[in-house]
Amino acid sequence: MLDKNKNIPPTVLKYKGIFDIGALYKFMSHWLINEGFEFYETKYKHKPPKIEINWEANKRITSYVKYIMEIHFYFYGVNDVEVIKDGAKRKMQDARVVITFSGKVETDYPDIYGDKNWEKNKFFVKAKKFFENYIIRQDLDVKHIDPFYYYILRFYEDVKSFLGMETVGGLS
Amino acid sequence: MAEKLPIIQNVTMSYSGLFDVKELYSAINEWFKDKGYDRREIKNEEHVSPSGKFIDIEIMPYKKLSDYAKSVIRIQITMHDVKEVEIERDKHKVKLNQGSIEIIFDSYLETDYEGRWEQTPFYFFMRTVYDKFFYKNYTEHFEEMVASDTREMEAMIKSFLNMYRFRK
Repeated sequence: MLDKNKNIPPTVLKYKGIFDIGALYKFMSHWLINEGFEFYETKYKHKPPKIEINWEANKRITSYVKYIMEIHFYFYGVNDVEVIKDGAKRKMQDARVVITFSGKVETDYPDIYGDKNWEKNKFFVKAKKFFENYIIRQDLDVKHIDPFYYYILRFYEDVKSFLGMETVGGLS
Repeated sequence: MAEKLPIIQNVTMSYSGLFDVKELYSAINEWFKDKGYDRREIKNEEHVSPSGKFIDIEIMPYKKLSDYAKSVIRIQITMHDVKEVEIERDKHKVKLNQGSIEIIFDSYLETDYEGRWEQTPFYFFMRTVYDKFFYKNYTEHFEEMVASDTREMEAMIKSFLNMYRFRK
């Protein structure tokens, strides 16, 4: 178990160099969409030469469990540069970026009306606590929290690979 | 909160010369995987500059030794002026990296990592008594396991990097 609150600890990626911010944005959003996540941009702040973006992506796994991935981008020192890549001129950015990946496994997530099934009365609240601590504790750890952490790491590895970082391929 | 007992602290290793960043990174991850450690990467930083790449990685894999104790090994790898070079080996051109590396190892034995024995003062008292008198042998055994894993990891990296000295 990573955390008894079902939170996934943050992993930070920092990169400084020439890359295409637009392409990185597209790559990451397509990755999440292809993996079946619904994602929302909860913050977009563009104050040159800084850009700050927050994403929240979620995926319903069962009627009781939902994965929530939080991604925070902070681009700074952004300068547009022209580079020649594969014989063609391309506009890219010389910038620094900090991307923080974190997440959590949410149980008894709210339905479309915002109600939680297991919080309707005190009995259900206690029953939920008992259910999670004694009946499905192992299942949550083994089937959800750990796999979700490795899932986030896979995304993190793909982003490192997209940026052309040296340390890729740790997940084999 | 879990209690962290430091086992090995601030053991450093430096190397300068030829190596392969990707292979080193994979070898470390593979070693931890083989030993049953869960992966935990705290930070991975890379700066590209004309003098070469600066790479800073912090990993903190852990392994549950029991429901009560877990082994945590923290490795901080800093690489400076990493450049790509091409060398000729057995009449074949091979791409490698050249630069300097500094690695710092720390390891801990983390007990009561789920915080179960800290819910009430009585539990906390019982935990201390239990640790000091009943569980002492187990704790010592776990400490040895953490220390041996850390030394093995260090030896693996040393031999991995030494290999490149003789591959030129």
